Amino acid sequence: MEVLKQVQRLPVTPTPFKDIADKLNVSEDDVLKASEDMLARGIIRRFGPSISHRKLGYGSNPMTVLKVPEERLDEIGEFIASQEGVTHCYHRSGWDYNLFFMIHGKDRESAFERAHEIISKVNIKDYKLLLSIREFKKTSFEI
Amino acid sequence: MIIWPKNHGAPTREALVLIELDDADRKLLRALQSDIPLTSRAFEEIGERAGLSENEAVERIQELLDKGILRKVGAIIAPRELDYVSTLAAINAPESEVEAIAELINGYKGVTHNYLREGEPNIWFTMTEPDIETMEHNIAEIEKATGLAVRRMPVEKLYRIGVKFDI
Repeated sequence: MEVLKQVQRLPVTPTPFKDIADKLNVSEDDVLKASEDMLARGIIRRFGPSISHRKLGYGSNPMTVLKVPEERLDEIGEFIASQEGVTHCYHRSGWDYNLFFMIHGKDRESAFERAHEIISKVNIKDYKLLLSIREFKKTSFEI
Repeated sequence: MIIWPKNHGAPTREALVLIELDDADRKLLRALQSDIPLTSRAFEEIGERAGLSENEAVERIQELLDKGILRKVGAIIAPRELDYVSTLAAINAPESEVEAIAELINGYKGVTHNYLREGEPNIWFTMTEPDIETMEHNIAEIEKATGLAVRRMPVEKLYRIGVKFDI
């Protein structure tokens, strides 16, 4: 758990894992092995960057919500998940709209167009596109 | 029925400050996106993929962090695998109270995303906590403080998660 806490934000130095090891009083190999293990177990999804897409101009991220009959959830969920531009796709409970997906676009028009294009292929009439107006908070989950 | 957001076509209220990247930055971000290797000199390898020296890679990554283009580099955790619970939640705030309510919600450490969106409800956030009791306690607290109901929309099934941008 201590290793996990530290590897969430790697020090940006030539030897990030060695630096963490020194801090925790363990060997660099211990840190690398623990990291590999947590990666293999799925606790760590991947080692990568967390990028602020808004600062790169991907400012338009409509959340699309659909009302899908229960028996078509998997079929439609898996189809949408496979579509280009889709970053998230979930079945959620708690609302009449039960399938959610996100796409990121450089501008509102192309994002809307892409969302409509995807929806037109699944033949669901009841849906909404919820465009974000402001970002109050966006962080990565950290323990 | 197609429900269009009410003010479709209106400009967003938030001014976006776009930061231009040079070619080397783009290559570097792409190299990071295709996973940071679990090796002693991880950034040396990242640099190699981007055609940069280890030093250049380290300096540029630090600059991208300073500029806020990168929030962090490191392990992306799957909270569910640690038995954390999370939910998407939404609250319909009157326009005059949007700021205050958004700020109240932001105050919870477990809130990782918080957006104002078109339509109703208008404030959408995600909360991730170590157990259901803590999450319920927090959401009930938000309901009590605002006098508004919070809709909880937990994930029942995940079809896709993973953001890799074309840079």
